[in-house]
Formats: sequence, structure tokens, C-alpha cells
Amino acid sequence: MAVVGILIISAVIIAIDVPPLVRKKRKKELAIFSSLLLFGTALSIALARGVQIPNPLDFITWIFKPFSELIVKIG
Amino acid sequence: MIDNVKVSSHQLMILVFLYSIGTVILHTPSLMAHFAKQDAWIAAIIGAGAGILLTGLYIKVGNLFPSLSLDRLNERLFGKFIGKTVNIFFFFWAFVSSSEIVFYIGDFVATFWMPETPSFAIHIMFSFIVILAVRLGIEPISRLTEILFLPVTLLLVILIIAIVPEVEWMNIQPVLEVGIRPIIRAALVFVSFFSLSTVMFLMIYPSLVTERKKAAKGFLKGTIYAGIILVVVMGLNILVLGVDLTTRNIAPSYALARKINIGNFITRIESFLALFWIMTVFIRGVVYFYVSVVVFSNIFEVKDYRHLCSPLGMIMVVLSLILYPNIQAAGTYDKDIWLPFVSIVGLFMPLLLLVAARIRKRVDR
Repeated sequence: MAVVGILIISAVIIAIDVPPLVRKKRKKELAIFSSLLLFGTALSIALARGVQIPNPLDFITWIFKPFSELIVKIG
Repeated sequence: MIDNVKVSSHQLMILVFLYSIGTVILHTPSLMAHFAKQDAWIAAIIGAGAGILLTGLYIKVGNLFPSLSLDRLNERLFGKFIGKTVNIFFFFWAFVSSSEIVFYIGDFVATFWMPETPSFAIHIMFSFIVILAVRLGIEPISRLTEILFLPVTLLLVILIIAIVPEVEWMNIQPVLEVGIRPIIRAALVFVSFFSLSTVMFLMIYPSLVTERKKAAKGFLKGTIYAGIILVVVMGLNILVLGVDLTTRNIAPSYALARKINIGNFITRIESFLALFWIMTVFIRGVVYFYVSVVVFSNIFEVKDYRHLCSPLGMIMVVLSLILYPNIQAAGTYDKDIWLPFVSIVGLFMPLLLLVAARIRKRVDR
């Protein structure tokens, strides 16, 4: 059910954004737009099906942990 | 890019004002009281002062090349390759932050207003208006802030005046008991939310404003007004609720508004506070998302950023749902990780830009 909803949303986005891009013949923008939308749809479906998605915050935390330990020493 | 958009100095002032109040007013007091206890208000004053200094730095960076926005400035001064790398980091930061804003709204509404509604529904609805606003462009957004300015300020002033009778001066005594280090730590927390992220107004300030000199003043004024409001609210939180309650609440200012009682007649008006909080957070979310979409389209040298709003918005919704498992995780992140993360774009990037500009000047001679 959720997957159908996501696909409908993607279809609506395509219906709104793609025709003006095709009319203006902007191939590069169309390529970036399609890959972003594909990525977004895939992510949403994965989330809806309960697939574990890697969290970018874990990565950020891993990078900045040493700095934050320095800050903790302040107070 | 559409280059004929213009923001007036007055609009920029309001935009900065609403943006700076944003999330800070509701969540930050609890984090600050956690460190500085009853002296959190002193930390807020120090933090607001530092915020004004930082705004001065940003204005200086903006005046280097008045026709360029921040991401183009990066490419101009650092060179194409390093500039693009910096921009990718900048985009990543702005995009993650915009998802965070969506999370905060979702969490707030689900906790206080609609506990039975699944949070993704709130996330999707809020993201939808953010995407809509960014698609329309920065000019309608800045006009919207003009409409929001009066109700927000009025509500704030009424709330502040109404809460004054509840003040208990015992709550901030003894002053300066915790020592200087926790106060500095709390001030750093305040700065990291209040002013380091305003660096993103460099995407708007020199290149999209009508009068540059006046706009710089507007930028500064917006920061100062927001700083005053936040110091007052921080002080009132401690004075009315006390250290203990301020620390334990996830949204102390909301609990503060709940305390308002005028002659047993006007009570429980905290929803007004939440209403204006959502307005300001909406502005913050819109600015974050606008900046991330514009930076993204500049990285790939796309002419019109508006077509990338909806697919990026879709990813933003997913990100906002997986970013934090709960509000406690958000608190830990805000306390420890956010400060170094935001300092890179908010402090080191502008400083490096100033240095790079000076070196370029010398080489050109």
C-alpha cells in the first residue's frame, strides 16, 4: 500500500517537472533530475518495506567524535 | 539561476530575525541549563555577543565580492576543484540540517498535539509546504516573512509580559556559582545554534539584496533583535521554571507558556507560542532547504534550481525519518557533534575565505 503511494507521488513529480525540461531540451538537468528521483523513490520504498538504511548521522558522529571529546573537556 | 530576484534590507532583517529565533527558542534553553545551571542566562548574553561578532565576520566575507553568493565565492577563491569539494560539504551540511528541522517539527507535533498520528504523515505535510515555498523562490519567501513579522513579534511580547508575574528571583541565585567553564560550554552551545549557521545568509546577502550597505545593517539588526529575545526567554525559563524543570523538559519554553495565568482567566495559552514557533521553524527549514538546493544545482551547474526541489525534498523526508531514533539521540547530537560540524562551515570556511582573498590580492599585485 505504502509503495503504491510512493509511486503515485513520484508519478506526480514527473508529471509536473519533466514536460518543461523536455520542452527546453535540457538533457543534463533531465539526467540529474531522473537520478535524484530514482534515488529518492528507491530510498522511500526501502524505508516503507522496513529495510535498514545507513544513517548519515552515524558517519558525521564518527568523524567529529574526537573534536567533541575536546569540547567536553571545557565544561 | 534566476538572477533578477531581489530582497530588500528590511526583508533581510526580518528573515534573519525569524531564522535565528527558529528552533533555538524552544529546545536550546534545556541544553544550556544542563551545562550552566542557573547561570545559563549569562551564557546566553556571552553567546549573543559572539553572534554579533560572527555576523560582522560574515558581512566582511560577503563584501569581498558583492556579486557572488557563498558557493560561487568558494569556487572563485579556492579554485574550481577545492571550491567544489567545499561546496559538496556545504550542501551535505545544509541538507542534513533541513531534514533535522523536519524531524523537530514532526517530533513536536507528535509529542504535544497529535500523539496518535504517525509521524511520517506530519513529516510529509511539513516538507510539502517547504518544497512549495522553495520552488516559488526567495522573493515570495521574504515577502512572507514580512507578513509573519508582526504577529510573531506581537505574540512574543505578549507572552513575555504575561509571564513576568510568575518570576521568582530565588531561582537564579546564587549567581556565578557553577564557575566559568560550564558557562563557556553553554555559550558555545548557544552560538552553535544561534549564529554559526547564519553563514548561509551569505547565499542571499551580497548577491540578492537591493542595497548592500543597508542590507548589511539589516543583517546585523536581525541578529541583535533575535539575540535580545533569546536572552530574555532564556532568563525567563530559569526565573520561572527553575534549573531543574528547564533541564528536564525537552521544550522548556512550551512549559513556560503553560504557566501563564492572568487572574485565573487567561490560562493555557501555550498553543500560541507553539504556533509562532512553527512559523519561525518553517522559515528556518525553508532557508536550509533553499540553500541546499541552490548549492546542489550550482555544483552541477544546473541553470534552474527549481526543478530539483521535489526529488531532493523526497530524499529529505526519508532522511528526516531515519536521522534520529528518538529525541534523546537528537539531544546528544546537538550537544556534542553539532558544534564541530557547524564550526567548519560557520567559522573556518569564512576565515579561510578571508585569508584566501588576501593572498589572491597580493599575488595579483
